[in-house]
Amino acid sequence: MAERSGWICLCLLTGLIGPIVGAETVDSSLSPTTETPRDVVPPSARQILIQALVNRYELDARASVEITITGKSGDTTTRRAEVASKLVDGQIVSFGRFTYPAEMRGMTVLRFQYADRDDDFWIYLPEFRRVRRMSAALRSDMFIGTDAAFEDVERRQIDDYRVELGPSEEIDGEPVWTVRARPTYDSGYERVVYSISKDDSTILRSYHYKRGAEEPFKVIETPRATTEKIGDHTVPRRATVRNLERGTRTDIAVTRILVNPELDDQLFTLRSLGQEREMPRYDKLEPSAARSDIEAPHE
Amino acid sequence: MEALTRWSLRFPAATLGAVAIATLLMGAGLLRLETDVGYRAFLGADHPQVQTLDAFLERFGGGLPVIIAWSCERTPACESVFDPSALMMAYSVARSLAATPGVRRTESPATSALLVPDAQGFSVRRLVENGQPVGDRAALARRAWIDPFWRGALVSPDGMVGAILLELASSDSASSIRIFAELERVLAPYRTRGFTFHLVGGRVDFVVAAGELESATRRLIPVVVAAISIVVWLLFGSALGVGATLASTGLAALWTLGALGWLGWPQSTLTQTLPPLVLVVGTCDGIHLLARFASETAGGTGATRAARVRALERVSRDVGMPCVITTLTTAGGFLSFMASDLESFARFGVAAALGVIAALLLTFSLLPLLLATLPAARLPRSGATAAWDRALLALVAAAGRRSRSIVVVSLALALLGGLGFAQLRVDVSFEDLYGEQSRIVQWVRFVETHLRRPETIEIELRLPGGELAIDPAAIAQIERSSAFLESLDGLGPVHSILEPLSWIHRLVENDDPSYQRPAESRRKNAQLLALLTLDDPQRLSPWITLDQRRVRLSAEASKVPQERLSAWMKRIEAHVANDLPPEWGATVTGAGAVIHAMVNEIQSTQLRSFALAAAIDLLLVGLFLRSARWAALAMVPTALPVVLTLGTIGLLGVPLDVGTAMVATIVIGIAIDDTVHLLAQYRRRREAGLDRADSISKAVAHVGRAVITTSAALALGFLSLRASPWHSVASFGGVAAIAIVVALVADLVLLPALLLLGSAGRMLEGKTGPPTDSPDPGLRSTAVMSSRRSTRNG
Repeated sequence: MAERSGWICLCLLTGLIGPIVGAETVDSSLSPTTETPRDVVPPSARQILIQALVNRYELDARASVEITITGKSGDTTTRRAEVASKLVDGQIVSFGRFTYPAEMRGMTVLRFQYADRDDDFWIYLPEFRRVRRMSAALRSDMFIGTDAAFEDVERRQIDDYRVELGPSEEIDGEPVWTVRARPTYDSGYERVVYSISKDDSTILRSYHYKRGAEEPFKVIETPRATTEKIGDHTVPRRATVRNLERGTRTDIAVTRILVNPELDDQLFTLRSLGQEREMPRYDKLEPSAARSDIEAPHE
Repeated sequence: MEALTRWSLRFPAATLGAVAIATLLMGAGLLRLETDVGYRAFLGADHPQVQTLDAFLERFGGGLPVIIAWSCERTPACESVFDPSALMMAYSVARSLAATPGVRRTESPATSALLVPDAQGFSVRRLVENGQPVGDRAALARRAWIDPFWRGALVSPDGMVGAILLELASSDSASSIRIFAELERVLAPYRTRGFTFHLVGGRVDFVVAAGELESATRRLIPVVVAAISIVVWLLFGSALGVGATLASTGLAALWTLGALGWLGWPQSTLTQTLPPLVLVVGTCDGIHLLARFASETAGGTGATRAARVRALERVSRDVGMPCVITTLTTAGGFLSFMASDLESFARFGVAAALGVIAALLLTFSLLPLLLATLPAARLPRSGATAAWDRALLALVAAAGRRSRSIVVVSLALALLGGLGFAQLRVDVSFEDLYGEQSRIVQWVRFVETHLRRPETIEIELRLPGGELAIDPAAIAQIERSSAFLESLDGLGPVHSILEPLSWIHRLVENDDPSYQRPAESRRKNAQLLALLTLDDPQRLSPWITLDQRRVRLSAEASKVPQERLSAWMKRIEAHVANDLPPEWGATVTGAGAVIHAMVNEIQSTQLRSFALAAAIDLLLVGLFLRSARWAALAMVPTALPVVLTLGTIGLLGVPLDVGTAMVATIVIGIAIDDTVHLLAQYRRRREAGLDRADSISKAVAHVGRAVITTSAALALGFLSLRASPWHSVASFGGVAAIAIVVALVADLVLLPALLLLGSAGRMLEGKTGPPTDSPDPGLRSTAVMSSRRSTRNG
């Protein structure tokens, strides 16, 4: 897999599925297609994390997602959106349109992620027929009313972290590496501990810690039972972000996903935002490489 | 008590061992003792108003944040909130605190978003970007002054005072203390640079108050000990006697605090008074024992240990039962606080009762043991007994001569006091509780002056299924309710979801001020809120729930008297009941509502516990004296000082606070003690055949000195509470001291006058007459002598 200047995530809404730590030039021996024998000399923490990220995020995608946010007192709100993300001219661009609730239907977000400056958000408000630009917020701010932070979903470089290998553990009987990653940038976290499958480099869990804390304040989990093998990638279909301090949680379900489809660059423009351009239909899309069109089990 | 004393004297090693074990055990409890103050500690976590407020805060996260305010006036540290040094301070502090466990969210002038219109929409700007103050600060500052998220919340209207807001994840004591310590650590370097911080907000208030409370207690105890020591030493001239008495009651105070620790009850404003209170009240039994012991050993009869042991056994027999009864009446007074719905009062009552009972047990076990062991030369001395006796007998004689006048004057005073008693009112604020010198009060005053008033009345409006708070009809109702709240004098402005909704509407419509209002449809409002949520959804959590069916109206409240607060609450409740759509629900809460509930509870506690304490006293004294009439008689000099003291407060129009509201119940339990001692001795002499005049004279001569000493110790002990910086503790001490002095006068003047009031005295005594058998042969001989003297005189 390639030398992409960055990885492509299911930014915006799909980006919530997991914490994203950036890639660097990836050694081909660490590509997801390469078997990683468990019982030989263990790879370094850096190699493990890179492999996990490559496995999970280096893809264009078109997906349907449902996000359910539960407040501390048990009140909930659900949002559904159709999203697409693509690498366009070296930039990761994400396009997401809300389909539910009715009041938000048609509200659309276009996000440009830059390696060297703050991201740009463009929002279309159908009731006002206006497009408005918003600059990015603090990395530790919550993201779209969820328990994920911007820094959980934005583009990062592996060099943004100091990583070290922790003890091997098991999650539901599955052996995992634990990798401790300490942000070197101005982060809302002191450290993140990733639990990465030894079998296929899937990130099954991440614990997020504040300064000096022994207990995490945020936990992101992607149960093994909900992951899907799509081509070279293992994609989580469900994820839960729990903010233990706030007592809130966000459940994300990818109800449908198409990996590496042929997405028209014109979708990712301000013009299409203002014109309420239709989202590309799944049956009209052709995958550019490994293709997978999987619908989630009926809810 | 006699058996306990005898056992202790017979087995000194076992007694000391038992005391040591109990002390170690209770000392271990001390290590578990925590301090908790504030509305939760006062009302109790289970109180409906506390639960309502907790649920409200749960729903509207960050509803009552901690405010860290600073001023750029008169300091070289900064010239305005928008000054680079102030911004970098705010940036560093906010970022550091945001990364602190237990802090959910921070807002600050450096890190909070400012929505600034531009050609393509609007930018989410911050005054510090990429770790540096931005260049266009002046333009952003102008925006901040009109932004409803900022004005009054993060920055004062003149830009000279700024604030960092912290939303905490938990309100429990441990995390509050930890975060406060972190807060102090983070702020420390900036204090050295000239910044002065003012910390306001429930959790921080409580931690600071707890610290002040602990240090006040540490300062108070030596004052109380000194006061008691002086009184005991003056009366008995024995430093070792003072030490022995204080050792007994000191251990009782320690056991009491240890018991609090084992019960898992934290120290509160009320329980702060426990150590001095147990010391003061517990000493009374010791003084009675010391006084009798001094009399028994007068003239060198206590030269040997064996003689002292015999004397102590006699003393224990003599004063033991009255001390048990008086301790039970005092404990009963304290236990009557269990009738209160206020958890703090109930816990205080139980702990204080345990304390005085522990003091009684130690007084009749450890104290005799120490007295028996003391060198004879260091024993308490009886002192100028003759002079005391003469003075006391003169007083009783005068009371007897002017009994009618005394009773009439007392009756008049009681009526006057009753009038004032009926006018008593309670008025409480947390500031009054802490005292004007408290940092908390000074910080609150600062924030009130420069930023939004932190005290609020909150209304949660609940909409029925199918309706959302962003519907035009719902918005119209929110506007009506807000206008109603602002129409109440001293209440308002009112903050609600309408502020951010209106602000983002204006921004979407090209910053046109005419659009600074909610939009005209649900869909538009939903998209406006989603727009705000997209950047920082937590910004709305203080105002609206995720499902948009609950909204919060927050009315800033001035500090007003309880009457005005009550009037507000009634009108708000009427508005909620009558003016909301029938399917809507509403809950009124907030600091103002909590104080209102607190005052109501204190008033009801005052009435209930006073009545219960009086009933307990009546019952116990009636059982002890085996006569309802005697019990009723005992209540006259006991209740008079309470009615008179508090009646005077009522007539002066001074409201009761938390401390003085407790006085009636506590004093009635204590004041009856001296009456019981006097009546016990009086009754014993009457039963021995003495006439009323002789009986009261000899009773006063027998226990008068101890009664005066205990009253002096109590009054001085209570008076020393005036040294507390906590207003409620100080006022309790002052009023209780006055009541104790009045009670002493009533015991030495009114009680003899009542007993010697001819037919009235006979009626009060009932059928009590010379007994067929006297409990004390000594008294029988006294009676015979008295009879002979009467015959001679006759």
